[in-house]
Amino acid sequence: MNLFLLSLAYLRVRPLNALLNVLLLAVGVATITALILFSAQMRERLARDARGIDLVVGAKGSPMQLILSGIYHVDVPTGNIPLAEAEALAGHPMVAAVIPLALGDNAAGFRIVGTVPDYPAHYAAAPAAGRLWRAPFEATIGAEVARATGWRVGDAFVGSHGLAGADFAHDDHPYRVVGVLARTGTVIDRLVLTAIESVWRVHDTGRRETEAVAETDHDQDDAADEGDSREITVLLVRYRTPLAAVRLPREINGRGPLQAAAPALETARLLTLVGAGLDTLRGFGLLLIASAALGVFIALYNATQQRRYDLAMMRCLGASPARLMGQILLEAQLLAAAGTVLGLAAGHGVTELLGRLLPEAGAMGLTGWTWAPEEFLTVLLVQAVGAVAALLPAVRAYRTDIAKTLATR
Amino acid sequence: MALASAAEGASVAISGLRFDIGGRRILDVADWFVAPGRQALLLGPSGSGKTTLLNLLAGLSRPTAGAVAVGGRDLAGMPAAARDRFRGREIGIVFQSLHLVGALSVAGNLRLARYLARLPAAEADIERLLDALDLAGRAAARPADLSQGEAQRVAIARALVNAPSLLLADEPTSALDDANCERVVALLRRQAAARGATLVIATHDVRLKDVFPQRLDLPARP
Repeated sequence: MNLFLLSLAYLRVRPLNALLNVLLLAVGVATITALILFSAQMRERLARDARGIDLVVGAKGSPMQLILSGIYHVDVPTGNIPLAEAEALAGHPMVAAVIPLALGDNAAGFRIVGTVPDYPAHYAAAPAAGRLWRAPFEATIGAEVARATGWRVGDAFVGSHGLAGADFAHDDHPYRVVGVLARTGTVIDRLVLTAIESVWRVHDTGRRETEAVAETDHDQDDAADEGDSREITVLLVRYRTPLAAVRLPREINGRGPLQAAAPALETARLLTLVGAGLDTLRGFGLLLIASAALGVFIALYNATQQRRYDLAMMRCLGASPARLMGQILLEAQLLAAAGTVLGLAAGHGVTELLGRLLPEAGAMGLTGWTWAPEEFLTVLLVQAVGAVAALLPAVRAYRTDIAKTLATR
Repeated sequence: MALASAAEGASVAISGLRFDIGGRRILDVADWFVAPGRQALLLGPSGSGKTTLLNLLAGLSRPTAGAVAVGGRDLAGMPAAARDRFRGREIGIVFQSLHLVGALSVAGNLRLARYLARLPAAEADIERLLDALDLAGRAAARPADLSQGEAQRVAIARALVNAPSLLLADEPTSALDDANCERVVALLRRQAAARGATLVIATHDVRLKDVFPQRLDLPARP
């Protein structure tokens, strides 16, 4: 016999009551845990995809859109920019390296990106099978693309115009898979990589002055039409010097048709926007925990009333008031611990399930098989809430007047 | 002089004991001693202060004046925690309403008593005790499933499980017919004697009047 077994015995007397409180706690903890996991992994993922990219240069439009389309490949591009302009920027003394991307088509819903081998190299993506593309209409596909489509080295496919779904198939320009990249956990897993020339050739035939590469077209057509009309969609830029962060964006934005957007800035803005929604859900989770705490409080308060004879009896048997108080507190901590364990398990389970069932969450690589440091705080919070809920009943147990209690029956 | 020597080795020693509630005198006992291992009766009608005296003997309440000593230790003079511990080890109490812990089994109630007195678990002792009180098959039963007689024997077992030097019982026979009354009193006397514990029974039951060699009569109070 010890306080633990005694508390357990008391919980077993009213199992439904205990179960209700544990479940309320668990749902609250699960909600908060899932949110923590989701936002931590989203942040992590956003940071990983943007790592080493100081600036994204593309056509004028919304800077957020430029980042979303240029780095994360989730939005439509702002438009295209003349290759000549991009090459001029690449030669800028403050620029250490650039990676050009040409967007516009998709294959089975995955974006086809015309680029250079530096792009997979930037994400440390090496072929798991086959090799990188060398000629136009050779494609090296990301791990997720390979998994979803079942394409293997040697297979052929055609691209469709647009960034998602098939609205206009480029049947006349089939691609051939020459390589499959190893999984990197970055955006590149969901991309079809090919040479820039492939994208140019697909779109140059017959439609050269209307839409060049991008889904959305803007007013650079005039610029594009004179002389070298080749275009790319975005240019990923790495600075040579930290000083460039101050000067280069201003220089680009102030002149000509180009727009520069800093991923760090736009990602922070994006997280603020998403954060408001997450905060609402988090508040909901806290509300659940608070109502569970109220349930625990009422249950224990009633218990100290119903058990006043037991409490008095235990004093007679030699228990100090502090021990009785400890027993009540322990009972609350047991409920809180059960709710926490169940909630953590459910939170991780739901996160894992979402990652598997929702394509968007899967694309983000959402998984429940990981921990976030904030979860530790949740555990502490729930234990503290349990202790607070038990405090008043525990004090009541502490103050039990034995002689008076035992005399009243 | 005779008083002093009687008090010295006494298991229970009361001197000049008074207990008031709200200025009303509930209890007034000049001197009373019970020698170790002896068995005594506190006899008086309802409202005569029997239960109050029992609470004072158990150190559950503090006297207005006078002193109560158990085994030579003044209860009122002890710090609260020490008194709780002393009570747990040295005094076994059988209440009128038995106050078994309903959440625990019969054996669990006995284990709880050992644990709360900070004594090591003694499964063999518990088994022997339940055996002696004719409860051998009931160790795992819940108090709610026991008959009244069984429940009372469990309460007695719980009062004895820490091998106290003083066993107190409050109205153990009030609800019993003659045959059962005799049986319970015999059981209490036998078990107390077997363990060398002093036995004090508080009762208004005059059937017990002549069973005990020593008696304190408490007068009815208006």
